[in-house]
Amino acid sequence: MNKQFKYFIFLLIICIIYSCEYEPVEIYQRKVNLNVNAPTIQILDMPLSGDTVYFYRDFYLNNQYYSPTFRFSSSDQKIRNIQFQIDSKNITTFTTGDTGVYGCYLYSLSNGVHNLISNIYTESGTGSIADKVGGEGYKFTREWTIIVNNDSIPPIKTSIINGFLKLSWPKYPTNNFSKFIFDKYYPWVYRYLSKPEFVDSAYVGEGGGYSISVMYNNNQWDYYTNNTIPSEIPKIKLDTVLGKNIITWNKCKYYSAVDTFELFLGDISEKNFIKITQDPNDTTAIYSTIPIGQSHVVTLIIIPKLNKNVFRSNMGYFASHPIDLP
Amino acid sequence: MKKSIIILLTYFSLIAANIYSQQFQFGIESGIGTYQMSALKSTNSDIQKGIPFDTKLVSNFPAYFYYRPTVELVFKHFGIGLNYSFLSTGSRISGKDYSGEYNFDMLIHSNTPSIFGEYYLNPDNKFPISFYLNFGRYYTTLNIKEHFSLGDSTLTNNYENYKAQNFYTEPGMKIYYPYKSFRIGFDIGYALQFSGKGFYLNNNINQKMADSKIPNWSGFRIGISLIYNLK
Repeated sequence: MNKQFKYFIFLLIICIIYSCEYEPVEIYQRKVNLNVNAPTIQILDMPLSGDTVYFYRDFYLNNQYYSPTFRFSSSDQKIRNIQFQIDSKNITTFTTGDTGVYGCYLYSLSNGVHNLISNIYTESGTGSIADKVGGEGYKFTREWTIIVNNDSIPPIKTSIINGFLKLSWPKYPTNNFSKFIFDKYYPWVYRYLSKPEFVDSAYVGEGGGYSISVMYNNNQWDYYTNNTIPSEIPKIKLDTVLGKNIITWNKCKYYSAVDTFELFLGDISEKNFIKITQDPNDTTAIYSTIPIGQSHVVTLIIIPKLNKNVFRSNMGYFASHPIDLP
Repeated sequence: MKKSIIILLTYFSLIAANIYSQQFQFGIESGIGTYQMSALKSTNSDIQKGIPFDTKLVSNFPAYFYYRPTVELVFKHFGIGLNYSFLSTGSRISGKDYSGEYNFDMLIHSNTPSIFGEYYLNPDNKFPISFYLNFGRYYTTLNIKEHFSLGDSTLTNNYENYKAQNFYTEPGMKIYYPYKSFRIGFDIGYALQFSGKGFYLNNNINQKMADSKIPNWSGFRIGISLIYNLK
């Protein structure tokens, strides 16, 4: 009896030992791909070409902020996120759905040099847990120097070179510059220029407006500066010496552009020319009598060399302010 | 009314004991139980869908051992007794690679006191056969552990402990082989949980588990027992 009881207790203990609570032990070993290459990041659209980007009055013109957008593509691994920083501070970033377009807002940057960084984060491509939760991947960094100038419009300077008007303005201080667009309002001239200067071989002093724009490497363009030049058509004056009317005018500054100076009496259509000359140094005319019944008004007109026939036929010449003869 | 019934049952039991009281037995039973746990399986499915990397449900409340010590007063054809069952099972969602590891474990067990009655068809036979009916209550404890680490850093290490109580009944049959003062039994039954009270947070009975999920221990019980006859 006692022996049997001990035997029973022994068996009971064995059972209790095995009376363990269920405990799962199996682990699922995930398959990962360790033979992956780093992705190649292509920048499909980038408004900030070059390493240095110059913003000229853009923040003023675009309601105090500028929002360049970029489009990136990755060869294999997906782009997970893009972070933009300006001067080491994160800035607001936006994305437009799944199109791979990312952008940032550049708010009211002050004048001076700034540093813009884009950090592009991609998946690692291994398929690991860390990859799937964003703890593993590749980071690509692109950096730009941004020069901001919100100051006033740069001036267009005028000078005379060999009897022609020369216009010049400051260089565009960035390497994303492609060319200038020169626009003269009347007579209309439209030129692409690589240098910040233009010799206006058609200008005879008539005055007028000019506008300079900038074309960037990506074929986008932006306004740069403008200028309006007052008229400098020679003025005529009258002196009477010994009963003769001596009409003089100051030498035209832009004589190289002038084809003919014509001084006439009354309406030009009547062709009562007092003097016609192509010599810019010849600035005097003598007129002794005034025909009865004719106008006492004298006018000097200037015919430019460039397209002179067009000017004549369209009566598009430039004339001095007429004076009344006594 | 209840009191009267208890008094009557006690009276008739004593009479029966005087007439037929033959043996007082105690023993231990162990075997395999299957457990439905449909609500918790559904939880596993939801959890797995929310994980951004592929995982595997390596364990999903499988059949597992139960343990049941028993004391019984046996008459000629009838027996009545008490037992206590310990049931456990669990599940695991797992994923591991060189970069990290994720485990979501649900470990559930129940301490189950019961009373039972047993009817012996042929008590004098070499292989007595009986039918039994258990009635008891599951005191269930659910431990949920979620562990997520990347490299050497532990990002998530959550632990929650829930409780639930539910009644059950278990009809079944046994066949015995008497040997000296022992009896070796083989039994098969089906446990049916019939009240559906949901889990609540261990230290706060008012804080129910989302969707009022309940444990469900219903399932087959197949076991062997070793019984010692004190008489």
